[in-house]
Amino acid sequence: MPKSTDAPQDDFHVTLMTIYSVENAGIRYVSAALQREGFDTSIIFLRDWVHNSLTMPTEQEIEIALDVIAQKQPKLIGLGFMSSLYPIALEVTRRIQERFPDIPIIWGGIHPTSVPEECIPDVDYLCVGEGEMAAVELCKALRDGNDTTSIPNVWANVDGQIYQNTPRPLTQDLDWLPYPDVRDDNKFYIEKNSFTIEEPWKRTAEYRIYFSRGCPYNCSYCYVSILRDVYNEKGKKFYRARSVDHIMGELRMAMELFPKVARIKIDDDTSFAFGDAWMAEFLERYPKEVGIPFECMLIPPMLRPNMIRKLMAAGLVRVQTGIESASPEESIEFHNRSPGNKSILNFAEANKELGLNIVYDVIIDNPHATEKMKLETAEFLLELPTPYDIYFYSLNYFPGTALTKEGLESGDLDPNLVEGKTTKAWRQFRVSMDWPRSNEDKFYLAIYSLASKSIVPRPFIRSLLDNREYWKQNIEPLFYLAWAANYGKMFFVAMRYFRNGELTWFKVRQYASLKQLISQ
Amino acid sequence: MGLRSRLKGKLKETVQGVSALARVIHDEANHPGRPQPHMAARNPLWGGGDVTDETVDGTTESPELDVSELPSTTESPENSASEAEGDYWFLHDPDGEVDDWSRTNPKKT
Repeated sequence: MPKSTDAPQDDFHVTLMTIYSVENAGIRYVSAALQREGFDTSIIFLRDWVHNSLTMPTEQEIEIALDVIAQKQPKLIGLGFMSSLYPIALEVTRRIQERFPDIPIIWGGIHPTSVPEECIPDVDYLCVGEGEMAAVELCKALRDGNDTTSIPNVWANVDGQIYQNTPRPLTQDLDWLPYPDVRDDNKFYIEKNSFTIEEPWKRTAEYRIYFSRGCPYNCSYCYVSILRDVYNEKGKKFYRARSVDHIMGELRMAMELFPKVARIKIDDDTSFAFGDAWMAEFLERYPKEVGIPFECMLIPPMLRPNMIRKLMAAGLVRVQTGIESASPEESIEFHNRSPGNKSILNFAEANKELGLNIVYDVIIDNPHATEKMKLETAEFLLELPTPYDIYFYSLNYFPGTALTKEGLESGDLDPNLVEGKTTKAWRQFRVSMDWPRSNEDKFYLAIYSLASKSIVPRPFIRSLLDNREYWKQNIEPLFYLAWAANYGKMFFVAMRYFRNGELTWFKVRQYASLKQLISQ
Repeated sequence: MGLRSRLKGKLKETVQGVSALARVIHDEANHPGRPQPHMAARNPLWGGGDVTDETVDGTTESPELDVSELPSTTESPENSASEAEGDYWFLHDPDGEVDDWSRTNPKKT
């Protein structure tokens, strides 16, 4: 394989690419870090992930991406992707290598970080862990003709020799990071066999931002457990926060550059796990300097009515929190996560008065969950006041997570069921009713779904639970009832949005058309 | 004729819209929960959808960021820590209102 360059190069351009990940912030951070050091960059977004209907990009779309590369003549190509997209990333990489055999390619993102040994034979370099400083150092080395085989965070495959380099210390001061690169003129968004030169993020009314990196917790199914393994550092903070000042700077930039932004989505795994002084400064400055609605994720013990009131006064309109499983045993033993039932119930009662839109995360399809565990979750959901929304997650085994490693070590998990080898997330990242499940799992999915809807009487759902043995044997009517309730809910939502002007025929046609094209 | 063709066009547009809405609702009904945030942001039935409208086709003009506005610190960041505080406010629970999340690895402790 190539290709450490022999001589210093001028006009060093880097083309970054991501697949089905228009919202990918990491690639924009890397791009901005490179620009700050004087490198020219472009980013290719190959398709947007709108539905559970992921397919290989068309031949024409791949050709467009290759033509962009041909036009830009980069000295390095970077591809960032998630584990589920490994088969697509591999195919795209092979096509790039065929057409541009002399341009080195680096992979980054959570998949190469999770399983670098499996990935490095396919490319020249891998970024394992956080990428900003690694990318800058690699580009400097390539530009200056220096050694590229001993850069921290970067694995190299040079002249058939593999070099595995340990990560550099985590960036402790997140204020060192630039704001993400959101320019329009260096973005190529490929969709529907065509492309536009634009920052596709600006298409939505939502600006997504990270206040922090890392997480204080170690849920077994989460990518954080992978990064904790990569960065097994003593005496360093894994969970790090940006200063309020740095965040406000980025948000002011967003308000200027995204003229139609109407809300902020804080994408941290755990938002607001910061100190009192930080919280006070944020609560004072956000309404004055930004002042548009925001939503965030909070872990259950943060759902304190007093704090929620203050956050709502600052602009909080929706909060997402994780039930995952209401079974303490499943939470601790399978998810490595403290139960949050008491906090959630307390908050749900207080929320009758507060009226905050709340969304609960629930994980289904855990093959090791017993019926007792599923029943505990059902009963808990029936205790919560309606209405509420649920984010259902079908349990996927992502490579490198604690859950996957334990499953593989114990022999409980078939290696072919790990994402990257399988592509379940292409169809079940968002849970669908028609996915093949056991009658028991169909029964509990139907119950969970019905429980969140205020139009379905709770005594009726409880009677279904009391007669669960019968309904599990005769699942079809119940399953179709849950389906019909979904139809009813979506119909009423559509009518409400039409009535208050949030939905137009144009928006509907535009979305339906996008879905149709992406599903092809 | 003019009025007739306008009415015909309007009717066709409405039928197309209703048909598209039926397809979207049918698809949504197959999914029992809210879409994940990045999907919800595009989905008009969950308050999302592109911000473009009939009168705006393709990209919109927007001001570019002046590079001088970007944070300019380029010194090595490892030793200038601005760390999240470990003494988390949500772990203090004098009223016994919330669950104890002081264990970050509950399975192992």
